[in-house]
Amino acid sequence: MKLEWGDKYIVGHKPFDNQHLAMVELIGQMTELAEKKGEKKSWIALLDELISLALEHFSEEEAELEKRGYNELLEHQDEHRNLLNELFEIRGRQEKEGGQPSLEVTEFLANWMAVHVGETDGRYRRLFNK
Amino acid sequence: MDDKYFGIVINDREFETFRELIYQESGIRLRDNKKDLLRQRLNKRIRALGLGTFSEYYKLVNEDRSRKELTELIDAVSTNVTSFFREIKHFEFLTEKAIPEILNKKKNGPFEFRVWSAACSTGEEPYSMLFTLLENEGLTSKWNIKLLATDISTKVLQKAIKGSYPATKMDSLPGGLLNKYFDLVDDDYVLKQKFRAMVNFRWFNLITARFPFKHKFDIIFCRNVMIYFDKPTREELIRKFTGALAPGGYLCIGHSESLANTSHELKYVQPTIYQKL
Repeated sequence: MKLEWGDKYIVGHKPFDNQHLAMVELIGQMTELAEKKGEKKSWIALLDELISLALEHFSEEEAELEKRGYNELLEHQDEHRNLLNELFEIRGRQEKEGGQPSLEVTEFLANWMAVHVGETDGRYRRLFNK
Repeated sequence: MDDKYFGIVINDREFETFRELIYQESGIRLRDNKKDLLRQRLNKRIRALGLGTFSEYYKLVNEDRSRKELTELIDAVSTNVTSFFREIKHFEFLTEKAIPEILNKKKNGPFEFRVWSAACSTGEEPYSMLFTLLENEGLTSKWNIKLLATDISTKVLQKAIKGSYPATKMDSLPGGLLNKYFDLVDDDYVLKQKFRAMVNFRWFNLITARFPFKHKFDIIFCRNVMIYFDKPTREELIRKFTGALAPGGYLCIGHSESLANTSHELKYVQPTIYQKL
């Protein structure tokens, strides 16, 4: 499964849209690596890049939503933290197993992005589209 | 006045005792960011009871044999964000794969289709499952749909049973379904009685040691629950779900959840969807 970027993922806040797109592209690169189409970067390095992107984006997004008094912030944070925990677990496991690219991991990440950005983030879209 | 600054405060030690109690009773592991939520949501309750501190309230919860206060406490900390057809992929999977497959498996009977929404919140999830089943052409009138919907929060169950939703919550419902299944009463959409009656709502605690079900389920949805559980609680729950599924049955979990690092005997089908062999 490859995640195709599209309008349904646009939340209407330019920096966030760019960060989401960057994450989707990174997961796309990881998918290609897992499908053995590209070998440019190592899998663990891509995973680390995704983790740092996610950390940066989540904290900015949460700060902005808090500033705007968003009423579902706690639940939103839960989804973020849970993904981060998953990412750390995946990273730990992958390192132990020699950093083998895995389609199960990329499918999980692509699905997470599709639901989180397409559905969960969609719930705050109204804050930016007045 | 904002009770963030003027309410009854909870200190770290008190928060720890509540965190432990909630974990023991519900499996929910409160993260540190829930301290404020706990304080805000329980302030009114503590004052209504004529108490002055969280420690006094803790004592009362423990001494209440009826466990009513414990229910209030768990209601206050459980998370209930949901919407119709949330995580649309699961419903597409039911329509395209799971339902036809299960109907075929049972083509010689029994003509019962058993589905469980294990953390049904305010009802959007089980009702979305119901619409998905009713809209499926293969599920003809000879089939008996058994749809169980449970939650640990009594507050959400009260809402779920009513099946009444403000218009703003109906955006994610495909157009044709709205008029077919709901009546517009004042400003709310109310699910027609005969459809409401097709879902059996029950209070249920997922950390119950043994599941009491006589029959196996074809489909179980348990989404965005395990993110609040620790690993042993999660593994135990998956083991119980596996036992409650019919062979060939499917378990759908939330998009933030993965069984990749959990020991289990289910077959991975696609992200967040697992099958009992």
